[in-house]
Amino acid sequence: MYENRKGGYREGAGRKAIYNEPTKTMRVPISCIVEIKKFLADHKKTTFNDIASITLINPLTFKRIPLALEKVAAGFPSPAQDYIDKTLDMNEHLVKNEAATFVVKVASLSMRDAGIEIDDELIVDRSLEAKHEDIVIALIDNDFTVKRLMVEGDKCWLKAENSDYDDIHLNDCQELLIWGVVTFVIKPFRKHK
Amino acid sequence: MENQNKIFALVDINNCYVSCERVFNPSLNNKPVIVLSNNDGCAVARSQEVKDLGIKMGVPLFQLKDLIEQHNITVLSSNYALYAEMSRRFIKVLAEFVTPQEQEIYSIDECFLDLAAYASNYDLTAYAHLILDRLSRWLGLPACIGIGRTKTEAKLANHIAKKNSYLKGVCNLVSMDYCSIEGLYQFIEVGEVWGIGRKHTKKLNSLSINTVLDFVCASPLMIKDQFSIVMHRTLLELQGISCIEIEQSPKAKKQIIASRSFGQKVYSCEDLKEAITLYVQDAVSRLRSENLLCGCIISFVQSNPFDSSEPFYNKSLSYALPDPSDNILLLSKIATSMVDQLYQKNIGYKKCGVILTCLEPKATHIYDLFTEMNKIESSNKLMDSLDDIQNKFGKKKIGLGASMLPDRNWNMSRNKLSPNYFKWDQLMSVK
Repeated sequence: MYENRKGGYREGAGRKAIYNEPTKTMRVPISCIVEIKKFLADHKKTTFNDIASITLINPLTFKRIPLALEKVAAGFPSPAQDYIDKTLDMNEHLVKNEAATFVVKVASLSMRDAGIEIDDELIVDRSLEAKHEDIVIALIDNDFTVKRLMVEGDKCWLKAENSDYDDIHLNDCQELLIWGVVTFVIKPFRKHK
Repeated sequence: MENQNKIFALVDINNCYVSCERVFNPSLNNKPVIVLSNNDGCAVARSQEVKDLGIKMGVPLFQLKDLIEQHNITVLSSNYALYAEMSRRFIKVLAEFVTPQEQEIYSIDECFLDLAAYASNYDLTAYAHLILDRLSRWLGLPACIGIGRTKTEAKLANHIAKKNSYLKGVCNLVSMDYCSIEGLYQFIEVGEVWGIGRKHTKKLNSLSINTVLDFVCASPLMIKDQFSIVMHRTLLELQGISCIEIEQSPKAKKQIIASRSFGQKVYSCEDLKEAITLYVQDAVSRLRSENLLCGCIISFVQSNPFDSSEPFYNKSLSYALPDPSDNILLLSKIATSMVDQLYQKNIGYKKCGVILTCLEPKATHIYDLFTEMNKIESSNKLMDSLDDIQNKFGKKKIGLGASMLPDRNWNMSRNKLSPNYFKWDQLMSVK
């Protein structure tokens, strides 16, 4: 008897498996075939070898603090996650005009009642036009001073925000030069580091 | 020649270094002020009051002692960190008036602007005043603007604006009538023209060309014959034919020099080596920032040329590298071994430095057959890591030998340095 050599199982023949796991035949509605095929294509598991290369992430030189626009209930896994779309950038917040912004340090208590104390840092924008009641850095007789600018008609004077200090009214030969307008105060609350 | 309608402006900060100091120290306003060069050597910037006293640029400090006392002149060391920051802001403010293609940064205190596109919509003199007003308000810096049909003319116009206070800082030669221009040109010496140096001035004078007016009326052919194509171009520019365009990217460097004089005389070979190691590092970091390789290195040492009690000693050596390199270790080894040969005992050295030359772009350099590429590669990796460390932790955190340590014998002296008002610990203080 001759062995029947035709037909039957041959090594390596047939359709190649696309999924690295057992599969199962099932009936699906015709109208859904396109979607199901697409689903399967998209959800093909990526194996580790599929990642071409792992690149190093450059660490950032500045810190961005995520700003949550929704209140987050403690203990509940963040439903606010989808709402985080902005980060806090202190430069963007405090400096509107970078080229014209300077930082100066305070060396007197004359503005104490406005919340400005010794060693506080003031952010000064020189591009702003000083208006009535702005806190300004002024130049009087070539000395810097920080005061509140008071504009009354065509007359200006400088108000100290501390009763121990005198307001500055200019005499005829004095000239008032506004060096810049104070926009923010940086005040350290932990005095002992 | 095609019909040209070009208009250039040159914006120049008045007495730049002095003006920067005055922004933060108004007590210097209207007072005579001098800013000194490195090591407080000579006057590199003078306030108008000092210029009026007849003190010239570059005069050594010790020759000015009497005048300083007599006129109560304030003397300051140069505070380059402060001037560089103010210069950056100066350039940024100007950038809001033109497109990036229309701005050329010419020096720390000068910018060329191409204003041709604005001539139809603006009165350029008024536009220039707008620029000056903003520079003064935002930065506190006084400046002058010269406007002309060519860059050379704009430069001359700037000179006229500086010298004639009635112009209030803006001289617009494009809109000025010919009679007035002639009137101005006949009183300006030809040596004030951009590109005409002392030697050329002498030769021009011998041809009885003394003023700018004489020069403008000269024949271009004669100038080309007698001088050079460069001088010919200068003349054409003054006659209104623009030959020099706004330059966007600075030309590739031909050489890099790093050198500084010492705070005091240096006698030992070791000190010289330490100093030169630092200058090599400065030079190489500039070399690498432009992606260049150096093919030849020159080292030099010198004593004080102003000291008449000792003979002036000045010696230099050069070394051509078999393979162009940007390796800091290799270049500093070469430089320090050159110092061994340059050094002689009993000489008070005042200055040393290195010059990197035969520069070529790293990207296009072709190594020869016998180059060991794995060595080049490991050198590149080492240099990249060094750059990364310095970028992350600061320039002084890692360096060769003792060169970056503080208080070395050869360090610069800057006794009259003003604070850097852009550092947290040196802010300007207000009462």
